[in-house]
Amino acid sequence: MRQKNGMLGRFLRRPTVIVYLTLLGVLVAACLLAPVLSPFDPAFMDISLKFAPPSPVHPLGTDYLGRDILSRVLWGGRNTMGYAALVTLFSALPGTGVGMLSGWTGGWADEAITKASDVLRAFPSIVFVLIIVSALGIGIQSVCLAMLTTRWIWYARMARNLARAELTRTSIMASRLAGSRWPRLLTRHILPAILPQMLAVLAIDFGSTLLAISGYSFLGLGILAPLPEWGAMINDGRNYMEHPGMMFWPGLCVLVVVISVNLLGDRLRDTLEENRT
Amino acid sequence: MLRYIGKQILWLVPLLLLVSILSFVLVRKLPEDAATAYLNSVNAPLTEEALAAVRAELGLDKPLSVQYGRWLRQVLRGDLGYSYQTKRPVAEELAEDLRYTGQLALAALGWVLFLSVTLGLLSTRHPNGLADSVIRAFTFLGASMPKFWLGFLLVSLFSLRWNLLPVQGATSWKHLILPSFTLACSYIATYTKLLRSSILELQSQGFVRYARVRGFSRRAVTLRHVIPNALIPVLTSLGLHLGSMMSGAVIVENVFAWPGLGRMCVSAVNARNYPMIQGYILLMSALFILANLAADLVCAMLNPRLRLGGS
Repeated sequence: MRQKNGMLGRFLRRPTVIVYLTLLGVLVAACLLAPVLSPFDPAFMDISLKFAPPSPVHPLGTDYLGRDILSRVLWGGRNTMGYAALVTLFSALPGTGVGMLSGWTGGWADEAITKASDVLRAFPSIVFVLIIVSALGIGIQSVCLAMLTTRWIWYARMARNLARAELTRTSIMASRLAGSRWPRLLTRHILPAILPQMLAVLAIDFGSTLLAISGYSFLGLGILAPLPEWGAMINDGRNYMEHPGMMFWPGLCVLVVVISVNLLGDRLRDTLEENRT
Repeated sequence: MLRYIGKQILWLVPLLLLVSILSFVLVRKLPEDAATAYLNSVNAPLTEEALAAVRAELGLDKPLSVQYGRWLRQVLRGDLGYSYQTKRPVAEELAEDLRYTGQLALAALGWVLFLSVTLGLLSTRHPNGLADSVIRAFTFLGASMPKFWLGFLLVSLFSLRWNLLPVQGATSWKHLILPSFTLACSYIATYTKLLRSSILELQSQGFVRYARVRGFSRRAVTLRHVIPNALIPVLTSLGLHLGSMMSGAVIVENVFAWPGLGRMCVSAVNARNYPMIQGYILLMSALFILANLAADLVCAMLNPRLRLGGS
């Protein structure tokens, strides 16, 4: 346990980690506190004030309907990051479980997961989204469902590979000899051992999920107007290119979140690697 | 090698079957009746007799399995039905759109190969030097950049502010520059990173050092030995990235109003144009399988162990 605390400490002491964790933390907190922080209702329109430049009242200006951009960015972040977190979590949990089990049992189920993830890795994800969106209708539920159907398998593959590597350790052998059965073995020994690696995967996957969700909303397949969402806000702004503020801020937020989680995931992986050597 | 490739193909069959059944069910079962949709598409009145006649004509009164077999035969003959929006054959429209998406993807591929090799070589010139750090920052930025935002940034700089390139459309080669770069950006980042590490590894290897010791210039060794070997992993993984590139193209085409498959499929979804959606899904699956085969072939040709028939 001490060794693990040392690792976490070393991860948190890296200067880049501090910077990006703070950046991400501030952004997430601001979005969570949107009901308190946002100066306006995100749907409040004032046509007489459309395309207002940044001012003390509207720090980021207003959009084509006179809605406050700052408020929409804050509330939009709740949608964008909320759905991305939901999809990431619900693909990571079953995926990790299935992956550990298949790594433990081996056999045909194991091979099927490996092969299925190989095939799906290269398959255009938009196809599943199109199938589900045309069957169940346009909306964020359809998009999330489509993403869930395929995304869990990456986690399964990753957890499976890591679990297999763990299973060869002498500590596992010892635990088995001592009479541990598989539920205990998986939850007490394998899961804690692979968890840091899985967290690194999760961080990076959260970034790509967020890009995908805001991308589908940008295409008008996910979260629909007038609800605020970063991708959908950029879509709103495309007809008003002469007022770049409408697109600039939500896009910047997406970029900051994705860069932060990618960097944190990378650094976590680096720390783990150092730990191993 | 044939056995290896055969085994790879075998794993694609269930996926293809699944996709074909899904896209078949999509049009036949959900959410409006195909006979009604057909009558609406030809602007015929919706009477009971007309519906019954169309059902018999389209074979909708037969069991689903029979309908599926019939539909599959039609698809294999290239008959994908008619687009509800334009009333033209789906296959014809898809072929037109595919040309544009193909242009976009090829141009993006050009950017990827040219820039990632250049940046990879620059960054390995002096590892951890200034150029390396700048390029590393770029790879990080490029990998995290949302395509729909990057596209607009490029348009507002190059088209609106500096007036160098056209904003939207597809009437000249100049129209291709910004969309293809937008599509390529994240792959440039990925492959620059990949090339950097494989070039560094190659430079420390015996045969490269030996060539230098024999007196060949750094340039000659790089061109002759380093680049070809470093490109192997890039070429094999390009096949794997085709799928994500096609998903990315959907966004890029919608940003730049590029008249390709991606723009078509989003407008088809909004118009509930099921035959078009179905056609798009089938075409994507077919492309996916071809790309996989190509990647496997390249992989097998480059890897002597597979070429010589081992497993």
